[in-house]
Order: sequence, then C-alpha cells, then structure tokens
Amino acid sequence: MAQALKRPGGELANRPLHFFWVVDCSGSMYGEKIGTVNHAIQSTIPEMVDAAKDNPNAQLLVRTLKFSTGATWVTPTPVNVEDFAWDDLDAGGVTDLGKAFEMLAAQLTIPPMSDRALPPVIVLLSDGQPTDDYKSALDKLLHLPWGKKAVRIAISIGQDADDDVLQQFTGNSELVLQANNPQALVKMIKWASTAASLVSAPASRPKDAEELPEANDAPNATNAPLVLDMNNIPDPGSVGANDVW
Amino acid sequence: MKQMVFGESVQGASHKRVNMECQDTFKKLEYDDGTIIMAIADGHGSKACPYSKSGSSIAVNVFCKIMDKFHTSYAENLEMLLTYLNREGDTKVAQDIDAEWKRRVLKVHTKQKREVPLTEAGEKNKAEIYKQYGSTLVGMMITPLFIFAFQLGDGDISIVSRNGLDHLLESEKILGVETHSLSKIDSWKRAVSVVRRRTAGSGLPYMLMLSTDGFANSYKSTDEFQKTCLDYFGMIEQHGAGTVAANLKGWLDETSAMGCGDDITVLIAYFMDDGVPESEANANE
Repeated sequence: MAQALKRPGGELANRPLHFFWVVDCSGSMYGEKIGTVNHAIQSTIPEMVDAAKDNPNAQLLVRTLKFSTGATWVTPTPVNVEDFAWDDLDAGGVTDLGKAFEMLAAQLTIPPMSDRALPPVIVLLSDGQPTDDYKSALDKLLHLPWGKKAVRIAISIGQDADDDVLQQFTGNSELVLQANNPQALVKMIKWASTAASLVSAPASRPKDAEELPEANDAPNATNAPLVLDMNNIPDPGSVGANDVW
Repeated sequence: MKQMVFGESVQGASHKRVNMECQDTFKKLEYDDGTIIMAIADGHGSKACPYSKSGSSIAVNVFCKIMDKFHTSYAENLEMLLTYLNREGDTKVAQDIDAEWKRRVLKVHTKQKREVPLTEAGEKNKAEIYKQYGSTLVGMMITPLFIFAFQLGDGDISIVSRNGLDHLLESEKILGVETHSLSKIDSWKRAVSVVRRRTAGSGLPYMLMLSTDGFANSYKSTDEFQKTCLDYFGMIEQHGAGTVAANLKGWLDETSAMGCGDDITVLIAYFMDDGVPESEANANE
C-alpha cells in the first residue's frame, strides 16, 4: 500500500467569469422603461446567485456601467454575485454609447482581465440612437482579444432603438432581443442573465477560422461565440399583445 | 537508465455534478529498446460534440498506431526517423494523423448506426459528423536518440529536471473555451511539433509531462502551474514514482474540484539513473 501524500503544487482557483450590465440611462429611458429595467435586473439577482452556486468552479463577477451624457461605472470593481446589489438607476441626458464602449474596452484588456478567465458576458440595454461617435470605440472593443470572445447580447427597448448599432455590437442579429413592452423587457433581461451559467459550463469547442467584422460592416456578420442556446430566446411576439413603447 | 511511465484521467468536478463521463483519454506504449509512445486527448464535451469521448479515444489510438509504425520501420535507423520527423512532423505526419482520425470517426459513426447529418444537397455531411467527435491531441515519442512532441489543440508538454522547467512545445493559446480541434477540416494545419535530440542517460533525473488544459486552468496563474510541475518532480524524487503514481488520481480529483472543474489528464514519463533505486526516497526519509 503506497503512502498517502498531500497534494503538491501551487494555488488552485476557479475561473473568473465577468458579467457586465451596460444600461442606457438617457432621457428617453425616463419613467417606465428605467423603472422596469431596475425592477427586472434586481429580480434576476437571486437566480444568478443560485446558478453560480451550482457551479463552484466558476467565479461570477458582476458589474454595472451606465451611460447617458458620458458613462460611469456604477460598480467600479468586479463584485462577487453573492455580494452584488443593484442600485436603482435614474434617466436623463443624451446617449453616449461610444463612451460606454471605451470604458468597457479599458476593462477587457489584459490586465485587468486575466487570460485564464471564461468568456465575459456583456448585456447592453438601449432604447435610442448613439449621440457620440460610437464606431471607433466599438471597433477598438471588438478587436480586443476578450472583446472578440465576449458573449455580447443587446436588448433593444422600444421602437426607437437603433437595431443596426446593436447588431454591430452583438455581431449576431439573433442576439439583439426585442423588448417593446415591460413584460417583454423583463423576459429578455431574465434570459440574458442566464448566459453566465451557459458560458461557465465545462466544455470547449473547436475554434473557427478567424473572422472579425469591422464595426462598420454589414450588421449580419456573426462573430459572437455560439455558447448560447439561441433556440430558447423568448419570442417577443408572445409577450404582451400590444407594443406600448 | 531506468524509466517509469504512469498517468491518470479523472472526471472533472463539473462533469460529476451533471453525471457526464470523463471526455479525456490517455495511452502509453513501452518497448524493449526503451522507446516510449504516449498520448493524451481532451474531448470537447459540449452539446455539439456528444461523442467526444470516442473522439479522444480514437485520437490517442491513432497517434500511437502511427508512431508505432515509425518505430517498427525505422528501428535500425533512428537517425533517419529523427530527420523525417523534424522535417515532416507538422506537415506529412500531421496530415496522416488528421486523415486517419477522420477515417476512424466515420467508421465508428457508421458502425454505431448513429444519425447521419446531411448537407443541403442531401449528401453525408462529414464535417458535421467530425464535429460530434471533437477532440484535441497531444503526443510524444521518446526514443533513445530523440524526443518527438506533437500537439493539436490545447494542453501542455512540460519537461522538468533539477535545472527547472521548460515547455518542449508552445501551442497557440486561445482565450476562453475554444481550442484547435481534430474535428476541423484540415486540422493538421494547426498542429505543431518539435524534435529534440536526446542523449540517453544524460541530464538525469528528469520528467516529461503531458497534461490536458484542465490541469493548467485549475491554477491561479501560469506561475502557480509551473510551480506545480516542479513540485510533482520533487515529489517523485523524494517519494519515488510508484508512490506518486498511486496518489495521482486523488490529487487530480482535488485539483479539479478546487480549480476549474474540467476533466484532467496527466501522463508522466520519469527517467533516472540506473544506480538509483526507484525507492531512493525511502532511504532519505
């Protein structure tokens, strides 16, 4: 019988998974829209905590970035989902989406990101058209190694949202979720929040040929990692009979 | 010179939670002339790759079979084999491995009567079949004259001696959960290989270690992973390879549970001086 020995080696760690809520807080979001966003994201937190507990080999870290006139980190540093609290957001100002992309890009470089992390998840919620030059910032974001690998989901709120812009961000038309009323918005936020548990599943996938669309390219380019089961995206037509936004 | 080859594959902690079998496979062959052929493979394990355990098993068998043929054919002229592998390791040899893996995958798929995906033209969609068996492959042939290392996809090949750690081969590191895979068309183009001349009996003791990415990914940083490789070598020197082999499964189980949760395979070839008993450590204790 061989002697039982204590495991040798360095410090072990689960893999970090960064999850970003990026929320449009411009004036057009004022009222019911921002209220629904606040309520819906708040209500997803317990489910995200439960999902994280199911996979202790991934460390789910959450952050919120808001943009209107300029952009600000509501959560300046990554917070464990168990410790994450949603601070209700207010709306007012213009739609400086480019500034938000710029601030995201700064956080997706290595460092501060680790090269052993799981692909980050970015959920962008917007109801309008960018008022700043978003293209160069988006281009920079999409050319970062982690920018390319990130699972990028957009929730298009109401009829005035610029879906072309959102599609340039996601790189995949199916990942621009339509929310034309409060019920749909709640459902889409809920679906997007489950992306974290899908990304953290212990599986790898074959790398496809390197193809990166330019931010200015036709928005039907697909370069988002296909780790999500897009078959179960809620059908916007089935949520609420009438469009109210 | 004495040598010992041992390894373990363990089911990842995340796979245990969902009752999914270990997708890794390893294989080793040892010959009377001291030659060792060893390979590990990591099946992707995603929903799109339901037969990746089979894919990883085919991968290690293909590598060992092709290397075994070389060993037989060039037994009397290892110098010529060295030259050939040096020149063709990441081209002709990689093409042969790629083609044979795909041939066997199609054969298994047919034999198992699994559903055959079709192209829009109604023909057998081979690319989709390969995808269902997706796997990486890391292998090594160690002869008295040289070491040949081959890699397609993620994983690590480390060499550790009292002088420290070195990586025989640096494969392209891809962020996130993607890897190069045998399942891709022309996967051989992503293969890398190296031949390093070896003088049997010099530089002893040393350890050659193959590991799937679940091992390195379980450590906080590259430095911590490299420290681990050195520690394993130190444990073999101190306690003997047999004792480490007996403990390896438990260590890897714990590594996966406290690390990234993925399946882990570690395959080690340890070489030491003839004059040193394998149980040298016992005398030191």
